[in-house]
Amino acid sequence: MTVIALVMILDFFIGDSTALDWINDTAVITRSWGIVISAFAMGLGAINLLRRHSRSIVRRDDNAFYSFLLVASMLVMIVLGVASGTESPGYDFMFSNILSPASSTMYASIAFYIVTAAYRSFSARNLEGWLLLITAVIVMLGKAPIGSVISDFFPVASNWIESVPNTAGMRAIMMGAALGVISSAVKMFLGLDKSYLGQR
Amino acid sequence: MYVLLLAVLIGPLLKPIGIPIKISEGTQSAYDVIDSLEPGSKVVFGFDYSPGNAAEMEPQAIAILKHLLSKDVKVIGISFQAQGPMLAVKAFEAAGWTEKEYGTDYVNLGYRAGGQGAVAAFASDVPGTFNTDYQGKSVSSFPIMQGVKTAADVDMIITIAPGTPGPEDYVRQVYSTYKTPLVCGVPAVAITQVAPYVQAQQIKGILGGLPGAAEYELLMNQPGKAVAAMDAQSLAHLLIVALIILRNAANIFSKPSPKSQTTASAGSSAGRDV
Repeated sequence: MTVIALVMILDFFIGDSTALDWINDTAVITRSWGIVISAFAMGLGAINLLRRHSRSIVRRDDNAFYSFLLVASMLVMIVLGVASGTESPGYDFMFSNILSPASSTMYASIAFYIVTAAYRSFSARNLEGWLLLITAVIVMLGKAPIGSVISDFFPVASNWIESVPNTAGMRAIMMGAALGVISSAVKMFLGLDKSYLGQR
Repeated sequence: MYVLLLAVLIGPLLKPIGIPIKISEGTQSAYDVIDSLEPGSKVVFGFDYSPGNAAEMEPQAIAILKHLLSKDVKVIGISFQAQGPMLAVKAFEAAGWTEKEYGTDYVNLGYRAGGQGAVAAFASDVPGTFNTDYQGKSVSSFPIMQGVKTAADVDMIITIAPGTPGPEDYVRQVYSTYKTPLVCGVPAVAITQVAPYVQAQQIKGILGGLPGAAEYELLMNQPGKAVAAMDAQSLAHLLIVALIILRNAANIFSKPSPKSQTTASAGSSAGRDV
């Protein structure tokens, strides 16, 4: 792993040096392997899902009906996709009229949760709570056209919140996370951390 | 409350109010940088969204694709989301690209698994990573792919991505090495996450959520689905704000008891206080 990691890091820094083309070539091949492994991981995930839910159907568990729905729809999509291609009318019908509306409905239902949460849970009882709520209201109004209709203050204040305190906070989080990743990586390269191999 | 929300959403969709929409800086920058592309330029377009968030992301993709079509730019469609290629087909169709010649003016290279690793692989070896298109035809047979070896060989990368891999991954794996100009479309909630890269000019322009798409449609003088939905979104935001004020009205006029303050600060009130 240390050798592969070194190749990937060197590839990032050597640029267009022809003398070190072998490093670029090795890095390109390694990245291709990554894609192949990811594709296999997806296949493995699908097989695991089928096994888990098929077992649930056979055992007639409490949620066996939902497992049946999942397995049936998965098999129908797989058979249609493999047999007639993903551009076939049948596959397109399933994608456009079942998968897309169902997914969009799940996403859209968040709006209803937000409305309920706004009334039931957003109760400020201390200074920090009030700060959070006021900021949320300013950003919410500033990001919708109605905000500038009410007052020019909302888009201006919203942009300031987004580009000054928010960006400062995000940078701090990202840099902190990056330093954490680097230190973990160095520990792995030096063999000090072998948890990725299942060792303590 | 649900009925109220339905009413404020459906009402403006049926009878638009026409609340004026101001163009944000990020959308204007995205429009300007895309508008500066020369005819014949090659753009990689990442359809990195799924049907779940297509309601917010698809209007962005369609608006930009229409602009690219008007600029006579060549588009290479890719995806790092499994359902992206199907959505790419629909977006190309909705934006009028099907009148152009497939393989010469535009191409849909399909999906590659691997997240950020796949983005890195694409940047260093485009034809090696996407060696066939969505229908399984070899990319070497397409005139549009001639001369495209790495991300440095294209004039711009545009990604419409609500999650991972998203703009951050393109900045890390593509922009930092190849300096290819990057424009992105993200959901409204993700703007804050991408803001540092926009300020650093690593991302040249950004469309944020449905308002971003609406602003882009207005810049194009082609109001579409996003502009139509903005009244509904404005009123929904207003309803949520009204509910928050209503919920807290009691707190403004009443002094909190010591017990409730303790409970709130101890965080044991099951998420009821913020």
